[in-house]
Amino acid sequence: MIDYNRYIEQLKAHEAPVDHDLLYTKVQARLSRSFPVPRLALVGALAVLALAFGIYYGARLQQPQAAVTDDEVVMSYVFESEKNIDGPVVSYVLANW
Amino acid sequence: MTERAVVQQDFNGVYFAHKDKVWRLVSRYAHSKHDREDLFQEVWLRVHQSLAKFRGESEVSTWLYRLTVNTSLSFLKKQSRQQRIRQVLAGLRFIEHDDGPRDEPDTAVMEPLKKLNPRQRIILLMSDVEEKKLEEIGKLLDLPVGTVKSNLFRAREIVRKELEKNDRLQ
Repeated sequence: MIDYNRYIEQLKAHEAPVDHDLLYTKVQARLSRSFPVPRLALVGALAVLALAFGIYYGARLQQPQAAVTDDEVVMSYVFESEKNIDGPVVSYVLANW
Repeated sequence: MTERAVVQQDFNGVYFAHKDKVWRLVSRYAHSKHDREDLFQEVWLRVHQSLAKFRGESEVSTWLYRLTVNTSLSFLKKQSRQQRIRQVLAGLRFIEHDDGPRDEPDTAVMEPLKKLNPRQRIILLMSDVEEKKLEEIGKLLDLPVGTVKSNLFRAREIVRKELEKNDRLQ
């Protein structure tokens, strides 16, 4: 039986064959692939910024719109739900019906 | 010279001075050709990432040894997890049964080490092959000496049994 100490000596002597030139090329390829990370981070940050702007302007579009007529009557609340329609526009319409 | 160019220059210096040592270590830790090459690349990728942070408080070879050992341990743990998942999926017949990458004949000497878990394997190699002291291993792996000792004891026992078994089969 191969004894433990002899086995350890075999392990010490063991070294797998290697083509260092090929490995160096592979390492460099891995390194160059790892460089896009900052670029990806920048693209990601820009995408988040664009999304934030989108959400901000989207939310603004949802706000009650206002406009001024010749008589300076504010037309508003076009996006308000029915139960919330109460205010100067409704008062004006009702008064001038 | 840009910071990136400096890092690349330092990297090449470290790489060419220590590539053989790193290869020797990873060829003991990983079994198949594919795994060895993968682990070797992983180590150098980490070296490249950490080189700018290296303050020279220790020898480059010590720093590199620690980095290689820790990268190898993470690599082996990840592999072990993937192997378990493959076995479970094969058991559930989701995938064909697969023992993982096939070993080439030059790794026959590594066969008994396959029975060890990643921590036991690294500890046994560090202690008996690389002849590191238990305290040093504990420090490098961030483990109490008692844990290192018990893992080493168990690992030696498993390897001895494997050697006996292989002898009976021959």
